[in-house]
Amino acid sequence: MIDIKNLIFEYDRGIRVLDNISLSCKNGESVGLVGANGAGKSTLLKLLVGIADKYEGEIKVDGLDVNKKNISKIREKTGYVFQDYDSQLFMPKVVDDVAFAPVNYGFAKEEVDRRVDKALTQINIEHLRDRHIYKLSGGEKKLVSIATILSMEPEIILMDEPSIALDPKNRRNLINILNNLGQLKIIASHDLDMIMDTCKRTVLLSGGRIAADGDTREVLSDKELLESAGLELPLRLQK
Amino acid sequence: MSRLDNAIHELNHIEDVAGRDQWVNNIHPLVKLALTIIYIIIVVSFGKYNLSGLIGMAVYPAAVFILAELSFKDSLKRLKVVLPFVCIVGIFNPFFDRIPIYNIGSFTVTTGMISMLTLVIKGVFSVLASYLLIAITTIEEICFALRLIHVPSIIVTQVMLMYRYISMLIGEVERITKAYSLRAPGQKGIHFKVWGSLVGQLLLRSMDKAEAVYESMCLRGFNGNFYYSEKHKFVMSDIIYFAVWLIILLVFRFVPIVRAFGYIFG
Amino acid sequence: MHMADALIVPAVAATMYVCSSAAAAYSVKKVRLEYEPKKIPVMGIMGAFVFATQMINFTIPGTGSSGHLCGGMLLSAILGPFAGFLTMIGVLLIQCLLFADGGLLALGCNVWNMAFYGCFIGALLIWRPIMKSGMSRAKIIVASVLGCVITLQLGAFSVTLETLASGITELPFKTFLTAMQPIHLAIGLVEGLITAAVLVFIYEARPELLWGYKEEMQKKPALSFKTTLVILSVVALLIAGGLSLFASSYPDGLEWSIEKLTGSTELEAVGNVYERAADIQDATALLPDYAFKDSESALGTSFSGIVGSLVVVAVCVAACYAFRFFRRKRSVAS
Repeated sequence: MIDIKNLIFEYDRGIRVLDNISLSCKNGESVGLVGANGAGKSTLLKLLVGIADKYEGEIKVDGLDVNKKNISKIREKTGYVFQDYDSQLFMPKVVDDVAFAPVNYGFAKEEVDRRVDKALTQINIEHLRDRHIYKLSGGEKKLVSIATILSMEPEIILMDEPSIALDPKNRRNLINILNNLGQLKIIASHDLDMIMDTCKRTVLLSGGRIAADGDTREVLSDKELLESAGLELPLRLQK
Repeated sequence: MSRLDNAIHELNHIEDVAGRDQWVNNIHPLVKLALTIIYIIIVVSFGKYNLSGLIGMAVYPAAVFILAELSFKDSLKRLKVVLPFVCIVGIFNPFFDRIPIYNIGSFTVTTGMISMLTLVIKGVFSVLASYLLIAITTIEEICFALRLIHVPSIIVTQVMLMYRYISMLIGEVERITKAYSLRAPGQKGIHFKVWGSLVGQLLLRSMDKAEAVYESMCLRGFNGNFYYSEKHKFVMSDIIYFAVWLIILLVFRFVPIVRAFGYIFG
Repeated sequence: MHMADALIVPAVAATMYVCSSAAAAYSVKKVRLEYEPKKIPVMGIMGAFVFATQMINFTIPGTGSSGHLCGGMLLSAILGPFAGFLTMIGVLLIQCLLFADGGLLALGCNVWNMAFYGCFIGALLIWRPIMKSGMSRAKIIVASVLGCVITLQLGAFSVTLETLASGITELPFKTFLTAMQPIHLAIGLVEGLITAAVLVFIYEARPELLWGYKEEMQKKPALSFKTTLVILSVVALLIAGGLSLFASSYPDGLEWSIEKLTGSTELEAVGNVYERAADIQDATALLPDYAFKDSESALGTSFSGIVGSLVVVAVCVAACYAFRFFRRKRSVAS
C-alpha cells in the first residue's frame, strides 16, 4: 500500500527533517509512528498526501508516485485527521462537514447521505448530526473529525496525535473506534500507551531517521532505545 | 475583559434562541428576511413629523415578540449600540426647528421635538426588527436566503466561515488579553508598546490556522465550491405569513390607523 | 462609525446599495480572476480575526482613553483591496445581524463608508503607490497612518452627506461637518497607529504575507526612515492646518449656534446642560475651542491646527521609537 524508499526531506534553509527513510506498510496494518517533538512524524504524514512537497527519494501510495499528477487520486484514497480539530472542521454543522468530501468528489445525493449516515454510525455519533460544530466539546469534535474522513471511505487513514487533549473516557472511546477500523492506519503520536492498545507494529523516529521498526511490544519496552530517542517507557511498563 | 465574554455569551444565546423549534422559526428564511427589510423601509419612510403613524408600526415587533415567545429585555441591550449616535444627530432638532405646535401646561412642544422623537423611535423599531430576524432565523438560514437571491457565493461562503471561527478567535483574544492583564495589573487596555506584537501574533496564528484549514479542505477534494445541507421549500403557510404581514404593514403605512382610533376613543 | 437605519431614507439606502453592490460585483470578478482557492479560508478567518480584534482596548499613550481597530486598511494590506473588500462586507453583515451595529437597510451605506474607502482608496491609491518601489518599516507606518486618516475622513464625510440627504437632522451641513471631521481625524490617527504597529510586526516576522510584497523589490534603496518622517510631518501639518482653516471659515459653526441658543429663554435648561458639557470639554481638551480664546482670526485657528499636528508628529515619533526600542529588546532576547 505505502512504499517509501530513501526519502530525504529538507526545509528551505537546508534543515534536514527526514533523513533516508525507507518504510513499507501493507493493507489493513496498524502502524504506530512514535518519536519526540520535531522527530519528523507530522512531516512524514504530510508528505504522503502531498501537503509538503519537494522531497528526494521515492514515495508510492497504492502503486502511485506522490506527485502533482497523481495527488488528487491519492488524496481520494487517503483520509488525514489533523491534530487540531478546529482546522479539520470548518463547516457550520456536523452533517455539512461530514458530507464535504463525498460532495466534492461528486457523488449523488443519495450516496452522500448513505456515506454520512454510515460514517456517523460507525463511531456512534448519530446524535451529533445536526449540531453546530463550534458548540461541541473537544472530545466530540475529535470524533466528528474522524467521521469527516470516514465518509470518504478511504483505504488509508493517517492520524496526527489523535488522543491529544482527550479525557480518559474519550481516549478509551477513541481507542475502541480505532480498533474497529479495518483500513491501513498510520498513527503518529507520543501517547505510547495508546499506540500499545491500537498498533501491532511501531516505527520509532529519532532525528529524522528510523531508529526502530518492529513489533510494538518489543520497540516500546526497550528502555534505552526509547530514552535515546527522547521518549520514556509507556506508563504501564514503568514500575 | 467582560466585553469579550459578553460577545461570546451573546453569540451562544442568539444561536440557542434562533435554533428553537417554533413555528415562526420554521418559516422560510427568505420570507423573514424580506419582511424585515420591507418593515424597516416602511418605518424609515415615515415623514419626520408623522409621529402617530410611526407609532402604529409597533404592531410588527410587538406581534413577533409575542408569537416567538421572545424576551423583550434581551433585545434592549442591542439598542445601546445604535441609539447614542442616532440621539446625537437628533438632539439638535429641537434647537434648530422650533415652531411651536401646542402647549402642555407651561411646556411648549415644538416641531423639532417631534422630529427628534420620530427619529429615536425609528432607531428603536429598526433595531428591534433586525433583532427579531436574527432571533428567529439562524445565520445559516440567512445565508441560504442570500444564496437564493443570488448574492455571490464567495461572500456567503465567507460569512459562514467567519461565523464558524468568530467564537474561536474571540476566545483566543480573551485568553491573550487575560494573560496580558494578569501580568500588567492596573492597566485598562493594551499598552501601545505591545500593540503590534500582540495583535500581530494573533494575526500570524490566524493565518496559520487558515493555511491548515485550506490543507484540510484540499485533502477532502476541495475545488473552490461549497455545498450546504440547509434546504427550505416554500410552503403555503410561508406565503400566507408573508401576505398577511405585507397587507398589515401597508395598511398601517397608508391608512392613519392610530389617528382613527384617536377619534373613536377621543 | 456605523450608520443606523433610522438615519437614512429608503432612496439614500437604495442608492448606496447600488454603489456598494457595483464595487462588490467588480471585486468578485477580480477575485475570481485571480483564482486562488486558498483565499477563501484566509478571507473567512481574517474576517473573524478583525471581528475579534475590534474588541481589544488599546491604551492611547498620554491619555486615559482607548482606541479600537476598524480593520479595512489592515485587511486590504494583507488580502489586497478586492478580497479585503469582500471580507469587510462579511464583517459588516455579521456585525449588523448579530451585534446590532449598523442596520440591514444601512448596510449599503456602511459598506461604502467603511469598506469601500478603506479597501479601494486605502489600498489602491495609498498603499500601492507608496510600496511601489519596495517596502520598509517607515513606509508601512506612513501608508497605514495616511490610509486610515484619509479613509476615515472620507467615511465621516459620507456619513454626513447621507444623513443630510435623508433630511433627518436639522443641523446645517457645515455645522455637522465641522463636528464630524475633527473627531474622525483623531480616530483615524489612532487606528492608523495601531494598524501600523501590527503591519510592521508582520513585516518583520513574515513579510511575504503583506499585499504587494516582492522580494526582488527590496534590494532597491528605499526611502530612509528620517526622510519618511519628514514627509509624514509635512503632510500631517498641511492636513491639520487646512482642516482647521476649513473648520473655522464658517460663521455658523457649532459653537456659534449653541451660543445663540443659550441666549434664548425657553430652552435654558438644555442650554445649561450644554454649557456644562462645553466646560468639561474645555477642561479636558488639549486645545480648547480649536483656537486661542478671543481670537477668531484664521491665523489663530490654523496655528492651533499646526500645534495639534505637531503633537501628532510627536506621538508618531514616540511610537516609532517605541517600535525600535521594542525590536531591539527582542533581538537582544533572541
